[in-house]
Amino acid sequence: MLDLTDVAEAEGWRDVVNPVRLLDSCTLDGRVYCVPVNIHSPQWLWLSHDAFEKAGLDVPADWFEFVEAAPALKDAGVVPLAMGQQAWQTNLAFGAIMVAVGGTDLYIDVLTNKNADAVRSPEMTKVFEAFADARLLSEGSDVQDWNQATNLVITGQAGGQIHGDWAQGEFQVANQVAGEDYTCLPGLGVNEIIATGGDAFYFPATDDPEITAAQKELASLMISQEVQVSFNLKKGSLPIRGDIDLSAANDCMQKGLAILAAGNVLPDGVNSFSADTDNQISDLMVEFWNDTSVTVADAQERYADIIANAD
Amino acid sequence: MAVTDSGQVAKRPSRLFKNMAAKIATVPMVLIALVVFVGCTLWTIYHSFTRSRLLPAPEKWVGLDNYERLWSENRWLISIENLAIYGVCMLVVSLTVGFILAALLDRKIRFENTIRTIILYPFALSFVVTGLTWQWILNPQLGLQNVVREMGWTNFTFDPLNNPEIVIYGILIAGIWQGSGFVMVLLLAGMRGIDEDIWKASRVEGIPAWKTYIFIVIPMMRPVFVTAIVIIAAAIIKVYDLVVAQTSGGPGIASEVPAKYVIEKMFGAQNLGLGFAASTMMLVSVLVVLIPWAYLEFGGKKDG
Repeated sequence: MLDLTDVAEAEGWRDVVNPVRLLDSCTLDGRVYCVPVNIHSPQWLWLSHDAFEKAGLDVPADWFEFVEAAPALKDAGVVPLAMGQQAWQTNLAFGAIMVAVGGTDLYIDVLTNKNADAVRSPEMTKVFEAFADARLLSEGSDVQDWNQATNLVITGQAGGQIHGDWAQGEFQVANQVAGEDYTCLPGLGVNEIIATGGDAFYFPATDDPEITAAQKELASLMISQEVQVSFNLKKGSLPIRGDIDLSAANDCMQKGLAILAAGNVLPDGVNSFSADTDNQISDLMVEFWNDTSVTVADAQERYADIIANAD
Repeated sequence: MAVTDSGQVAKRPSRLFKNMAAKIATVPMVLIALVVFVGCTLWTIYHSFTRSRLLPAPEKWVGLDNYERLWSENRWLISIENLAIYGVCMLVVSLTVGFILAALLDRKIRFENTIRTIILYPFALSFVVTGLTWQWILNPQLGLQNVVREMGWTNFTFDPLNNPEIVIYGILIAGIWQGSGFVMVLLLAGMRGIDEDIWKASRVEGIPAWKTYIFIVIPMMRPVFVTAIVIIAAAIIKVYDLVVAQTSGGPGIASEVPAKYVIEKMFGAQNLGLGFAASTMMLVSVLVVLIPWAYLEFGGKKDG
């Protein structure tokens, strides 16, 4: 892979990239080999202004207000919560609710320390209760893919969707304006903490100096302030640098950047489960979500069992 | 047979070398059968008792742990239940439909070739295409329900794929649509093998056609039925792509099947041991049906 250290040092990447660990994961033995281009986080609640207008309500400011608003939404013929039927979306929603309702400490205690007692705690009961609310609110949302679910929110057929920030790209394509046509609530508006996954570009090393020069120019372009704003607005993600022109950013990006600037991010590698344990949890979540005869207590106990035997 | 050859003692060893070329030709097949089928089956069964994760770990013996976990998982129990419903219905319905269609075509009708081709056509489609097509047909907003509603019956509801209680029947419909044409062709071939004289005789006796079919033709077609049942049963046990294409096991886990469980545990969850345990249970369930049948079919005849 092409060594980008000279570009990185000349432009001072280490000083502008926030959180800096994105650059750390591109760095090996002090040399930089890739360009981080965006930050993705799954903990967002997307709300349709249209839908709440139909129900004659103000747009909620957090998850609990959203749950309270749900009956009115239903009366107005709106599905309160859009949710694609694929398993990973259910899991994503549970993760988001767990961070928001249960808090970061609980999240880390369960996912990193595999503490089964933490799963049996009353805080976790609240998480499962919120998840149980969510499954009832999503009745009538018979779509498969996440972007179909996002489309329900865009068209005002659904009140909201718990989904990653990439949903923003769909709103952008539909020419909707953040804060006017839709609202985003990072951390579901309850606990404003986001994860910082993301994408990065690597460049293969070549012998041709012309190509190498072009690669370095592209790398430098990708991380530039203008490209960071316009790319991430279209992609639906957060820029990897905080020193951008805020007037060009939309409402959601500003909220996300404020959280990043405050350092309210989940630590790296929180999820330490094996694929096997992840799969078991996924099975449980999917069953719980789709079968209302599985009670909160039942699901919580089964979750605790999985964590107790997790590897 | 041995009696005809037993005249001279000197000729006896030559029996082993008789038809040498044919015997050599079968050796690769025999070896493949032994190594691939029997060998791999034993290897799988052995590893189902180990804690194999991403890679096989023959040294990590855990006894029946994988089986205990398997039978404690709701998803597996639902898979088994679905397979039982799908299997029984598929076998009965596709044989019945296939037989009726074959009998109708057997009545020397016009355009038989055309009709036969049309009915067999679904079988030429893969399960993935079948599944997707039926996903659209059964979609309440696009498909059947919408069409009937537009025709005036506005209360008509037919939405099996979004109802966990009956989703497996939605899959069954697609399976039958795909499979019965093939059963029909098999049975039709069997019917064509029935001697014309039998029909003449039954006509002379004044036996109605349906009675001839049920009491004379069906018993005579026994070997064809056995072939058809074996082929359908194999397709039932390994049903996977149809479910993936139509519902991906949903809503929730309501339409999961064992083959899908095995694939997902082996590769998705990277838990080979559990996947092997599940596939061993599938093998056992097949053997439970097969052994008594084989015993009746072949065991009895040796003595008789």
